[in-house]
Amino acid sequence: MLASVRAFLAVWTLIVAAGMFRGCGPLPTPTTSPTVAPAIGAAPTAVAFPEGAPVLTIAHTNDVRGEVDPCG
Amino acid sequence: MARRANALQSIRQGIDDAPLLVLDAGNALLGYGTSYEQGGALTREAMDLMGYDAMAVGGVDLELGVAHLRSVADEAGFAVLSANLVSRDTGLPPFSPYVIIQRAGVRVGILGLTEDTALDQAPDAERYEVLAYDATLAAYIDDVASQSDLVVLLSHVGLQDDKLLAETYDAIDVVIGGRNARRLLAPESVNGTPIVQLGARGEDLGRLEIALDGDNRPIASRWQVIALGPEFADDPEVASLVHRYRVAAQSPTSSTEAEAAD
Repeated sequence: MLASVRAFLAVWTLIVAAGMFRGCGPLPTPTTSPTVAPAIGAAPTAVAFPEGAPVLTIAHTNDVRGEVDPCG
Repeated sequence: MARRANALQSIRQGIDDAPLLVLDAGNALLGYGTSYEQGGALTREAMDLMGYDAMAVGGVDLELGVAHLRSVADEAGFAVLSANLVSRDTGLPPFSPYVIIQRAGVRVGILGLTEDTALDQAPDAERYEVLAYDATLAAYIDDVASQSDLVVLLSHVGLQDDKLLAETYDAIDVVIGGRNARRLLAPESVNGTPIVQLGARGEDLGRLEIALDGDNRPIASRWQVIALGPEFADDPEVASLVHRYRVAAQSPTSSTEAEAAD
């Protein structure tokens, strides 16, 4: 009987410990590629274009304020 | 800035011969540190290297005066646009109101607008005024539209007014906006006209793709915000330019543009 109780407690201890530690580790490191631009305006990128339609691309900025190195 | 140059290069390589425009919606040239101290010369030269086609005039660009920005614009390889900033003496705009750029057979009309408070810090403000957005568009939009397949409003008037203008003028096909420095999560859409705007300081690069029909009219669009994180290496040419200007700025003998550009 005592062995059963000990086994039961041991299992619950493992379950609780697993739950406590889950998510407490370091955040996963995002994998990045120098050639792939990370998109954060994701919603409209799902728009499908008609096949073969010519595409005009506009690259744009605003309010840069002469900033040379925003992450420096 | 050097990362942006790299990202633009990646876009150019990815689209081959398809038409590309590079635009800035204002408050580009002056502002922080070296760029301000060098009177916008560093930013202007970097924007030339990056292949910018046009920018709108914003209030920060006028902090050294309209005449100063005019002199910078004279050196620039891109168009500096404002349809509603005019001389009080002549009523004429000191900058081009709009430009028509033809690329790969597509004629794009780009019309610039400046915010109503843009002259607040300009030392020569008394000689100029900023006209109402709506009246300015009414004066120019038909001219621009008649020469273009598609019309871009390059605007530093802010999102709320951008929406009103897009609602009022059907001829506007796209609004590339600024002023709020608010990174939109998705384009605003008014009457089918996409309105886009990024955050401040050049932390992002926007990429708007517009599918065209057989008459080069827009039929669909999609937008991507490219965060210019460390995964983008510095473009060596722009990085070298920045270095030269920084060295010149720290020089005890001179910090002039001419010496920086040597």
